[in-house]
Amino acid sequence: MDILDRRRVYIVPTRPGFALFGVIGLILIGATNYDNALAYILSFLLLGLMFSAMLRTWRNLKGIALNTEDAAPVHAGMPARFELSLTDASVLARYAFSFRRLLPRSQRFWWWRPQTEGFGECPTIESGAALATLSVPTVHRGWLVLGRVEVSSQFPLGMFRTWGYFKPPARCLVYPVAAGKLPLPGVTATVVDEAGSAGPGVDDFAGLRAYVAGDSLRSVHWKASARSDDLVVKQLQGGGHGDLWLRWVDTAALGGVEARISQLTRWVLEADRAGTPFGLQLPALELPPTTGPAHRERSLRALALMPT
Amino acid sequence: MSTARTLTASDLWWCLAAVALALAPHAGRLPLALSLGVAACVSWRMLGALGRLPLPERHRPVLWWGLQGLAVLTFVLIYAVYQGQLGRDAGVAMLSAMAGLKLLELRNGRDYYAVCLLTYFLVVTNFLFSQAIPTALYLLGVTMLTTSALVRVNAPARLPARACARLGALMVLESLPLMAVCFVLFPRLPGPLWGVPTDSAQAVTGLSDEMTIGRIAHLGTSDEVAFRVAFIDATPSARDLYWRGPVLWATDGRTWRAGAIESAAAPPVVVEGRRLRYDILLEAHGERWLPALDAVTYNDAKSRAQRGRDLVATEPIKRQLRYRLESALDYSLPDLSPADRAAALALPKQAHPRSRALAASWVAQGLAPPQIVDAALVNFRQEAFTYTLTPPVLSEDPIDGFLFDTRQGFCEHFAAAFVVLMRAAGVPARVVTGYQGGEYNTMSDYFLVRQRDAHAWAEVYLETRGWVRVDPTAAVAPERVSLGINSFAGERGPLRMLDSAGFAARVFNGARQLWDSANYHWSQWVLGYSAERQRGLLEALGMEEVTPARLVLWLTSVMGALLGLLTLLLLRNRAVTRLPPALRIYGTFCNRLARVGLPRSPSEGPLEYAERVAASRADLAAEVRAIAQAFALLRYADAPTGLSALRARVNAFKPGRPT
Repeated sequence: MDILDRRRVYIVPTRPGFALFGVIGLILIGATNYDNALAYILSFLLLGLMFSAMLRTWRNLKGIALNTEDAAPVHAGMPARFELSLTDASVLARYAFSFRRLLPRSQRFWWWRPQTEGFGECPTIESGAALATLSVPTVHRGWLVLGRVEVSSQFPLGMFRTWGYFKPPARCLVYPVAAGKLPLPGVTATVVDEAGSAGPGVDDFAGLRAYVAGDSLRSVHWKASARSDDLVVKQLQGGGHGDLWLRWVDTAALGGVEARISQLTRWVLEADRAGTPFGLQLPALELPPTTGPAHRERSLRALALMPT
Repeated sequence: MSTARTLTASDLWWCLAAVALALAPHAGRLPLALSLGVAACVSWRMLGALGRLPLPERHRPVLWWGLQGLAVLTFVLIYAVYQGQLGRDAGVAMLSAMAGLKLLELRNGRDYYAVCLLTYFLVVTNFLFSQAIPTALYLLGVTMLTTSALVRVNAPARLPARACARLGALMVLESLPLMAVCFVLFPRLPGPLWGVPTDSAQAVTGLSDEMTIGRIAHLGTSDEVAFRVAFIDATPSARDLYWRGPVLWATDGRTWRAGAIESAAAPPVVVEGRRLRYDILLEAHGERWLPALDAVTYNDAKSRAQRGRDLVATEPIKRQLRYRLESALDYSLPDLSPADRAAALALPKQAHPRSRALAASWVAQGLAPPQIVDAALVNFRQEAFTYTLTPPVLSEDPIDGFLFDTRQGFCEHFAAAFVVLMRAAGVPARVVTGYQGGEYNTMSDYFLVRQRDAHAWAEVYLETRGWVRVDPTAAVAPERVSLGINSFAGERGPLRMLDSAGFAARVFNGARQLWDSANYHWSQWVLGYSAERQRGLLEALGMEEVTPARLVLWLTSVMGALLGLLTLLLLRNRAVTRLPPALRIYGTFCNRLARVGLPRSPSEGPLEYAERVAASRADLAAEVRAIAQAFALLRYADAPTGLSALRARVNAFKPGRPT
């Protein structure tokens, strides 16, 4: 756990803070001109208030500690949500923190551009601990390393902004965007070699379920469909003949690598939603057909981390 | 808070209240229409926040453009009303209008900050009109409220309003030490930077430099402070406290004026007795005269003595003035120039025939000037003259009317009539206006002279003694001089309602004296803290050469020290003091065990911990278990008693190292 000590807490006046300094200057000039004792007093009082505000703003941040774990994977374009846990050894009441992710150095070249992204808020740290969520926008698939998190606060007067950085070892796996218009490829009868077959019961009929868009017509159970109003498809257990294979080569028509990855991602999601067992075949990797959340995650992870 | 944040209604209440309270004292000073307009803006914004009235926003073009037009019109009208002079009054009008209009377009955090900063500035504009203690306290409250409004908008919504108010007030209190240091040490620049404001001074009461019958009676009922005097060495008796103001030489029969000031230089004075030094703190009266006792022998005010030995300042007194004088109470002014003698004998032709006849009868009797003075005083005493603050109206010839018909009047009737009689009898005489007496403040050792102590008397020139003070009022009503005007205020004063010797009156008087004493010190040390006083104070504190550079050096070092102190105060770990007592005692217990190598792990409950300790230290087992039991009962079973037993047990618990 990383604690913000006094050397790593930074503070500068905000725009209203600079404006208040200006107001103090104006009052002081007026006080001199009119030789008005109470105007002098008010300007000095406001100066003292700025001192007090500076110290209190700084104290509000000093000594807190922040930690976070890896965020749940999201698809690119959706915000990655890092659950921050804040702790505080003192019993001070602390209020109004906001969190931002500091962009990696390579993206902070232009000083007039924003240096941070994402946003999180924590209204108060009560009895030494609090939770907050930092949402960070995602653009590209792959690992989003959280890097440095800027914690800032303007409490109590908004005249000063204090901030500090934490570098929790957290990251978020960003899945590719699901996109592409190609239909789900049909279930192909593949000849499974002896070693690949899963023993008896291969191609076992596992049950019926309602048709969803993208199901192969070959899997429709026509007899059952005739008895009901809707189309019904067969659900098959295990690999072997009639498995759905999502193949890298099938997306060749799309051209671009990212577009192909997005198409495969979409297929994975569709197949998973339909509950169809599917296999994923990528240039360097092949996942045998099966179903279930773990399989989906594995597939999406493979797609997210595919080298370009 | 980010400046783009939208505001909630509860944020707005604070801001609106702060603006309204900062503007409230101006309400009577601004043109009525403007006051009403600003009040309307505040109410409109309040109703807008409640959703009862539409606010002028861009998507309501009629309201929006109407407001823009109104704003322009307001500023044009203010410009016209104040005839283009951007002085104090016009400036305040502009700021008030701006504040009102800004409230209507108060939408996001940025506007909120702008309004709060404007409120701080509005607070200071009030000080241009009044620097009295109640004003200062009131505006200190407004400053706290404005600060709380800033806290409110920066704090999370769940922080209760009371906490916001407390924090705002606390922060203002925290800044008081630094304020005091800056106030004492900040170098004061001499003089105005761009000229003194040209606004007309507020209506002030006080003696004018002319006297028309009836004027002083008006002052006679005013409780306002004229000036305060602190004597440095000795205090003279009340009978000697004749504070000389304007000396009036010329008359047209009804009104007395200072007259031409040709021989403006004051004649030399021969001092015979002791001299008195005293400090006067004079309230603004808008004229140039300065009150002084008898013959001034030293003065540090920017003033000079006129031919009547009355002091005039170079500028009209538009603000409180502090000056030191030295006066001789026993003195003589032997010389009388021919021009002054002529002025001191002049009477309007054909005026006051009956008075002249009376004076002529004294001359015909062959009386010398001192005897003529006595004759006039005897005349006042023997005829049925009455001292009253409500005399009948004198229309024709006021002097003759007073002397022979009504015979009722107060000091100025007596003084004017007496001087007319003297001049008619050939004795040079003049009217002196000023104040007589004063209320001694037992708490702070000074005299308070109020407007109602205004008085008029006469001075006559006797060849042997020079100018001599004669108070004809004293001949008729000696208690006016010895007891002060209060004894004549009759049913006018609230004090009359009380038994003057009673307990209530004494309490009331004590409170009044305390209050005036506070005002006196406030004026002396806060309002009157000038470059001069600063030098005096700092030299008394041991600073050798007070230069601006040194002041800045001192200021920065003391501010640095204060900053350090404040930091320590704020960073002090308050965990110990805030914990409930049971927890604190248990903490001591755990610390003692930790010192002998048995620290409690953070996740361990008291009983669990006790068992672990008992397992490793059989010698402590009984005691540790008992303490843990007692603590657990107190803490978790909410047992009402047992705290002191626990404390005693823990205090007695001294585990030794395992042997």
